[in-house]
Amino acid sequence: MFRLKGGEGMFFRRSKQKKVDKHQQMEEERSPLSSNLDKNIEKIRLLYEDCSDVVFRSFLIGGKVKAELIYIDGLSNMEEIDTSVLSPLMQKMVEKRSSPSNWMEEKLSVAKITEVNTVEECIENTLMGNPILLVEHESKGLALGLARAEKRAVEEPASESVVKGSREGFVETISVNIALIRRRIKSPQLKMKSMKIGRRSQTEVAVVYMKGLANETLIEEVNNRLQRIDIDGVLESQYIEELIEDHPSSPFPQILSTERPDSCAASLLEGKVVILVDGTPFAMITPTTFLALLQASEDYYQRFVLSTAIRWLRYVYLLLSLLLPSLYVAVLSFHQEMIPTKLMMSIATSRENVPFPAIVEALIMEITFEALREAGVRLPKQIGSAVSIVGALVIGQAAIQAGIVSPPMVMVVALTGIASFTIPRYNLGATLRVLRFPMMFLAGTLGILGVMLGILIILTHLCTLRSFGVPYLSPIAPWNKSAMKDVLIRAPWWQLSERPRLTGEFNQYRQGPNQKPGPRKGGE
Amino acid sequence: MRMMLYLIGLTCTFLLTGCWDQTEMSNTALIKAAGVDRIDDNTIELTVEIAVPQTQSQSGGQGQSQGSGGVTQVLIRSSKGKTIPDALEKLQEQLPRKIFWGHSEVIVINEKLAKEGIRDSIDYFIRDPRPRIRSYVFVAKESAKEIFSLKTPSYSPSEILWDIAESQTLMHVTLVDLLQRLVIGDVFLPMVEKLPPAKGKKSNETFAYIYGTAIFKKDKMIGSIDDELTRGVKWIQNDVKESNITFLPEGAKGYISMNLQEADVKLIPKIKGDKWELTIKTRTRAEIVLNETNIQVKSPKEINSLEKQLVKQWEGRLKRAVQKVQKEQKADILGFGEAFERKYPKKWRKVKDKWDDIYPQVEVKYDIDTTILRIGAGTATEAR
Repeated sequence: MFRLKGGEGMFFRRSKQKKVDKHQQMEEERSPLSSNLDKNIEKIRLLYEDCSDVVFRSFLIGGKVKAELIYIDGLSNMEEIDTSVLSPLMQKMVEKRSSPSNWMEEKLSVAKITEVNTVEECIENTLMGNPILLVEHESKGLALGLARAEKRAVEEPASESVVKGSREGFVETISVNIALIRRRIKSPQLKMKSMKIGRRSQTEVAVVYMKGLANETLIEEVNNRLQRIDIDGVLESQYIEELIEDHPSSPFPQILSTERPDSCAASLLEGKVVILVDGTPFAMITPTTFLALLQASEDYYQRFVLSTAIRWLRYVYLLLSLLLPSLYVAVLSFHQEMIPTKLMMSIATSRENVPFPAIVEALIMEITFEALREAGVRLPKQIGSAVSIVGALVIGQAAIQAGIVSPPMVMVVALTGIASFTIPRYNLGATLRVLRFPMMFLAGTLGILGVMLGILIILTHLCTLRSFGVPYLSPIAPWNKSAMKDVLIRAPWWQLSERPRLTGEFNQYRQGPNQKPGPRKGGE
Repeated sequence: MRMMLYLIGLTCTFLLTGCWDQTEMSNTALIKAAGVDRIDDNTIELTVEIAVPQTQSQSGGQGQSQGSGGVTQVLIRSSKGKTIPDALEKLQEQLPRKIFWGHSEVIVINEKLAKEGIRDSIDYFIRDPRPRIRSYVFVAKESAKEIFSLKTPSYSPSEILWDIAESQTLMHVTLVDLLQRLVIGDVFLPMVEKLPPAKGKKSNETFAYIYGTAIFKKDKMIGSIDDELTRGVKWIQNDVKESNITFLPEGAKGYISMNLQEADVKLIPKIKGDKWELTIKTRTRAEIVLNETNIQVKSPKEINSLEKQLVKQWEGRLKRAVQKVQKEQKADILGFGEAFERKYPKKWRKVKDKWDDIYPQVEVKYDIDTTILRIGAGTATEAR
């Protein structure tokens, strides 16, 4: 075993070295464009060898000057290329030698144009969908902002639906996502820093924050952590999440993923930093606390009394989803005297024919439930209903009649399943569902003592966690009384005048004083 | 990797040590009630009522099965022994499952045994941590075995006893109450007996109910009082939330019934020289619930007169209870000693040993006042 360990370590080390070598290869010298058009084309063609989707279009500007338009089929707006680039340039009369910037101003009716000087820039721009215009005798090219990616329409967020509130959800295109946030915060203080992550995927990642609200050191920290990422490709925000977390091996999510632009905007206004990743309809919000994961956006869109009640319901079900099966197992195997006699009798009656001990019964049912849930998510929609029918039979009546499980256990499992879905963030619910299993083992071996032990371990772990420097359990630990307004209750907006305290304390107030409405306040 | 090893090690330790006191419910015999009888000088008989979590009836050996339409059936087993643990050991031999005390809620002690002293039999239930200390304790006129063997419809005999005790109509004493009382003074326990069976029924087709209170001097039973006196005692103990008094008003035909509410009874002790005095003070509100008389309870004058009569009636009841318990039985179950101890702790310490002599001499005074608050919801049926 130990030998194996040593061997593995060696293997990792070697592969690490390889990575570094490759990285050095990637950062080769950049070759500038020459004034010879054919040479430039040749270089680009060589890089784009066997790429049938790259189009090289040669034409003459005004019938005289040789030029080349390079773009990737499907990434650029073809109509725009025809009407705004090709036709005006081909009809243009070239009087004298003028620099591209000159005739660019005159003729090219394209909104966004940037100059490119190297072959690599050309490649980058074409890959982003910007057609490159190269002209004979020019050592500069033009990248035309005519990218047009196929994008999904803005739809209702599937994983965080609300009854009252915005129906817009993020899409896969980062520019749309940024616009969705910008639409909600129309302020020049809303800043975004864009960068490319992924050696090969070159995924665009944007760090969005409110200047003056977000702590400068926090922004710097986010940037630093993002910049040290060196990965092949970023296909989903989870890739980045796992690479910038404070505690990579913790089961608890330390970054909040949301599909809702309004949640993002709210977090930005609280001074948090949002990370958007191209190709992912989820934004990441940092720093995040445990309690923030229990706050749904709808809490703030409903009357505060109702929201407070729902929040408490959620807290109760949070505990249930973690503890209910283990408590049931513990009580049934060790502490039969702890439940009321009449309940005990009815449980005893129903368990009389069950051949397994409580812990085995609980494991069978919980695992079955998890399998059904997983199957329900993975299966094509057409077959999904079949799963639910079979599932209802398997973990329902049939299992009871077969004498494998007892009815109370089915109830416990069903309640636990429902409880885990009352948590607004799917990933936290999933974490608790996983932690339930060790808790059940502890309960089955040590009884209530084991359950308490498990709770203590989890609590201790939660206390050690930090998300970008913010204690995970804040504002409970460390205690902050004024923040309880948004934890124990959801105070009405006219009382939530202080921003939650994150890393620093500045720009404390988010609204004017005396916001409580009343019949005569308006006329005062 | 090292982490994995630690984890595996940790898991193993759980498996090694964890399950030592694990009991599966299908391996336990849940004792619902236990009864103790005296057989002869050296032998007691322990009878237990065991829940059988099955719908089919089961019978065998010495035990009888108790048919019931509810979720649980019970099985009665008894065994003899020198002491309760001794009998228990023999009982376990007869049972296929392990005895589990966690849900025993009723303890019945036979009168004969109670007269010898309950300390010995109660000791097991207190010393062993497994039985519940919130079980209700009863003294039975018949043998405990007989009480548990009754064929009761839909509930087992012990369930009926428990429910009656829980309703708090008469005395209800849990093991922990009993413990406290044993420490501070004299003890009382509810008395149960078999209700005479209805005509045409067999002698065991009935149930047991609480009919009075057994009075103990220290831990020995010295007598009993009936339900009426028990109510009086309960009043003085300030253990009544609501009660009815029915009496014949002066110069009227028919009865009048009143519901007494919000009674708060205080015992106010006073020591004047050698004279020990105690005032039973109470203020209460009454509500007329039945009026068979021709008194029209509308004018304040009539209500005043009724109030006075009610006070008299009530005082009479309390007096009878005090007379019986204090003067005749001389058992301090009314909490007089405690009241004196609280007010005069120093004096109490001096006379503590002589309290048995002082107690019957304590002069009891009554300070009772009552207000008739409501005369009833509808008065149309009143005689005119």
